[in-house]
Amino acid sequence: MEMSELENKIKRALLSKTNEIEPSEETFTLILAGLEKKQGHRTFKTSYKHYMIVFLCALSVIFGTTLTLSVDVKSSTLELINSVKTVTIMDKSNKVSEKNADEAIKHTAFSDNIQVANANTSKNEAVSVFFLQTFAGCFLFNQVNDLGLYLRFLIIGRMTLAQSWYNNKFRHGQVPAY
Amino acid sequence: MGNTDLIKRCQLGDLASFSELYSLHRKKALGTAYLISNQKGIAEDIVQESFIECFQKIQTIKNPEAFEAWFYKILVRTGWRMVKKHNYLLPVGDHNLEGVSTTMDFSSESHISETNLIVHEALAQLSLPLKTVVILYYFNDMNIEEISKVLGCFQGTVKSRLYNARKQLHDVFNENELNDSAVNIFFSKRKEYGLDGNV
Repeated sequence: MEMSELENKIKRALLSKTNEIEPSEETFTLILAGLEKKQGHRTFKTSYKHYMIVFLCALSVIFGTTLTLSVDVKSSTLELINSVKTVTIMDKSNKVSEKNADEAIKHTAFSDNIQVANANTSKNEAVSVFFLQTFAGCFLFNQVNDLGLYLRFLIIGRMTLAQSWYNNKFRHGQVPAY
Repeated sequence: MGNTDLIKRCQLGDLASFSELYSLHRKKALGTAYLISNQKGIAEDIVQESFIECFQKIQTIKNPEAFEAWFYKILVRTGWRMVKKHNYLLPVGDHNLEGVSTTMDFSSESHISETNLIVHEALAQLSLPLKTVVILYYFNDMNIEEISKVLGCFQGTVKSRLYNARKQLHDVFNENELNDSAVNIFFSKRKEYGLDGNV
């Protein structure tokens, strides 16, 4: 049998078979019903994801707070104060003098150590903020369909974070004006 | 309204445009689904599922001109999934019954020729990938490149599948032609020797 003859036979047979069925009018109504059903299911799924993200954020906050509370403020404060060798003092008559850090100063600083403790605990708060940022990233990933856009945002965010960490660690927050 | 405009409106969530798009493609889609599944009920389910998925994911289409390939990709995959599920749910003995029932449907139609019947039986014997290539090539009038996009495979794979399917169909035809000629010779010899039933 010739190939063209075979092809004609196949085409004819397929067309004759499909002529047997006609699309029913109800089908589109069923499609719309199916769409509504799936839309509802999707809404439920999204809200479920949101609950999960909220749960993880809450977990990260609790984790961060636990870290903050677990810090031994006393010992870290002493450690910090011990590193102080000289103290510059300005008295009431606007006289500036430099003295060695003696016990009295240490004692004063120790009894009024809120500032020092705050400086120490801010590190742990940063951990908490980092966790929050990560989970906010998850949330963005869920919302933004365009993965490329999300990744750009993420990279910019991480670079900013790294820059601020570098400034804090090596330049002590004092960034030179370029 | 053109296909491109309809798709753009569908992307904005316009159901009236989606209805129009459905009307444009439903007959061809149902035909393809019916040829893949061989059963009317399953074919309608495939079409429904495919159009639902189509509306849900239509926003992902960047080039509306490629809609047909994109849509048939969904339809073919849904079809394969449903056929496999159906075959899995049926007991082993019932698989042949399905083929027989299809054959009986054709024989009940008096105007369908014997050749069509042979083609249908031969197509039913083909594996799903081979059958799909034949359907997309001969029924949907797609070229090799379009079929490769629909099936997500290389053009060479499509060509080889089409070649194998044609070969199998050709063999079935030859076998039937041989049988026919043998039957004709048998009856002519009976007549020659005076063994015809009327004598």
